[in-house]
Amino acid sequence: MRLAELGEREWRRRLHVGKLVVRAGPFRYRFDSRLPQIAEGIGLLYADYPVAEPDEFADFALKMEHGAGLHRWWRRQVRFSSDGFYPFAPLPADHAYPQLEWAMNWCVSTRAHHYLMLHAAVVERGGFAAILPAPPGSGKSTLCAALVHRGWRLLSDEVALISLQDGRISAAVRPISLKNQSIDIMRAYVPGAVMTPVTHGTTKGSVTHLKVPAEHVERMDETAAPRWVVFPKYIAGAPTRLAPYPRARSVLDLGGNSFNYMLLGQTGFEALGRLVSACECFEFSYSQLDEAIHAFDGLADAVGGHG
Amino acid sequence: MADLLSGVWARVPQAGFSARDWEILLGQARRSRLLARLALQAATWPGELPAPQRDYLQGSLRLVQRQRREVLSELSRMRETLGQAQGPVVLLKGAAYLLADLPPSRGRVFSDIDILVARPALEGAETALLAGGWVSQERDAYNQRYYREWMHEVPPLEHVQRGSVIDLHHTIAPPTSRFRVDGALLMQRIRPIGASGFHMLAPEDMVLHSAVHLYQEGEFDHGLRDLLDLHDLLLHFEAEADFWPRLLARAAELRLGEPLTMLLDQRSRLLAAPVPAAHRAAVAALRPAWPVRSLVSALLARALRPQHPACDTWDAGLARQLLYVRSHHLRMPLRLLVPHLLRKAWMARRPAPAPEPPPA
Amino acid sequence: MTHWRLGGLTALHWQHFDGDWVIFDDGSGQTIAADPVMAAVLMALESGCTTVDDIEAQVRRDLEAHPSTELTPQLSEGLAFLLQLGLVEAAPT
Repeated sequence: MRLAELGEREWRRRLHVGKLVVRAGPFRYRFDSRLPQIAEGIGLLYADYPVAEPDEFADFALKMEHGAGLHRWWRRQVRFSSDGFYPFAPLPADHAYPQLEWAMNWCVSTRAHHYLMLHAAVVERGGFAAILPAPPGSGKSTLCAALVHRGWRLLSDEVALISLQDGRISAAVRPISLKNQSIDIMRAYVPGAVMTPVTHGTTKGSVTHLKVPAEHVERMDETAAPRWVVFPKYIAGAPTRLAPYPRARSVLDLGGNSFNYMLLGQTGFEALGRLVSACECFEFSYSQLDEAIHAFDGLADAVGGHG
Repeated sequence: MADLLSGVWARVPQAGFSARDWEILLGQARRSRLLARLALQAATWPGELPAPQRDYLQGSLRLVQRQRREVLSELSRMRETLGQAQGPVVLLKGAAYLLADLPPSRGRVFSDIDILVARPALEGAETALLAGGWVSQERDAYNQRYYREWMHEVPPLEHVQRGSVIDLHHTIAPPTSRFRVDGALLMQRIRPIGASGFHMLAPEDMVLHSAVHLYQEGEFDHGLRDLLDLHDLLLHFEAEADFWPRLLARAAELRLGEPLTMLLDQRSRLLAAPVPAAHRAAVAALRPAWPVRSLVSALLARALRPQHPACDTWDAGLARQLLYVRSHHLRMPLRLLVPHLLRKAWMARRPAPAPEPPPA
Repeated sequence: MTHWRLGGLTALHWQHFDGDWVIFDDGSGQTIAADPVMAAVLMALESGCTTVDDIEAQVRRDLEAHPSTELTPQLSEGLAFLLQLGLVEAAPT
């Protein structure tokens, strides 16, 4: 049953008492909050996602509540906790929804060690996945969001979940976060795109989350074989350029941009090595989105993939 | 809803856990930093663990495995740095358990490395570590003074490149606390750990260290974990023939009867591990007077529950607050207590930057 | 004369990509990318070479280096680097 099918009254009731369990990809998230922005955000972005029964096993429990003491009313704050532990300092109350999405990322990246987790976007076409690692602020999310609306399936905008068993990539398929200029770019690029109200003044600037197309949510259980590692870099005015990048360097760059490579030790080393062996690795610079997508389509076509 | 966690060590679960029970159990274990230990315990249960639970339990062991290697590496570097000049270097707690392959090392997640040297060697050891790249974590001059003059301890030392933290001690309890112990007495009984170049405390002293540390500890975040360490040590050492009499005699000698007996009571209650019948009379003789015993016992019992929403009632929080204040009282004489707490509160209102949420 | 050897806790794992090597040390948790010369130095140490001369001889054989190719400065630098990383130990005799 999807969230929308459950009915707003019922899922809001469950949310209030910590019984709303929503599945996105391989993870079930248990939500507990009485904050209105949380209900609104979840209703807007997760309508198509499956809901589990309240007494099923949830991988992560997330509670979002108002600030403590004075901060319940004055300089209103919001606090995140999981298992009774508050890992972050409180944030201003209007950051509530982005904070929830960050908290979900935090839960996954600090606990899901049955995957090698790379800090990267992942999109798929023809059964093959392109991994886009990039430090924050390099335009990865804009590129990812654009690809997702031009024939590429979203696996994740943030974390590549590489199975330690078979090396295939699982889809986390969560809403795509957009910042600053990319918000207006995506509004123009995808007319009718559904986004949460923009939150200004976060540590990353202005932030919103973009709803994932329903067909991609439908396909959340389809894994993909890794095929390309593309290190993207947005450079204003630059021509589109895809150049081969040495594999050994790719291993180091991916490992250094990973949530749990170090922690996984030899297992991580082997999994990352297998991944890179299976992939062509590229450096990619661009300034025009359409041209960038064309370059990616070229990669897919070369394998004989089709949309 | 109950504390599902302590029961895990008291008995093998008869009925299986429901899905919701598992979720709560993992949450409680995570909160108490016992997830890896739970993983090892669950591996001894009959039957196979269900899938997502197994993934998280096994995942928790990854950190443990990785850390073991890094701690061994760090100890090796430390050994080179300290040389022979400081006399014997005694590893305490986790580092000792690891190097000596004692049961509490299994499933343990490390933070700092605690070491003990003879008091006259303390300054030389600190100097050697500084030269080796370990600098004082404590920048604030007031807190430095708190450590050195009032607690008679060296503030933690952090390595400039590798980030490892060393706590350098000359005894097992703060010298200003009610249960202070003369380090020289401990040094008389130390034993080498194989050919590692390090030493460890005698078994009875290791147990007493664990007890006094937990008893005086201000933060109860890992109270249950420390109790499990104590439990594991007792199970391991009581195989030695005269261990219990030696332990009790030493507790009397070092005047640590109160911490030991109070924690033996908690161990008996929570982990279903009573004192062997032959020694009960001797243990009883070491107990504190009745009023102290019942109040502290009640406080400890509530405070040792996992700090998880499912079993964290309002009075458990209160118990923890009371114990926190009380343990400060144990660690520092009252005349020194208030100014320090006030200062700590003032500094807390001007925090160092809290950890940032991960990027969106 | 300095004697070289791998660190007591060093445990190397190897992967090869298009001529470069990526090496993981289980003891320290470090991952390094090594060019063929550095990789050959580590392999020589793994196979029991202890002096710079032995190491150089082994590296020359493994890389099929032309006799006139200068290797010594590279090797010394490489060993110093590995020492800093904690992967090798040096003892004077």
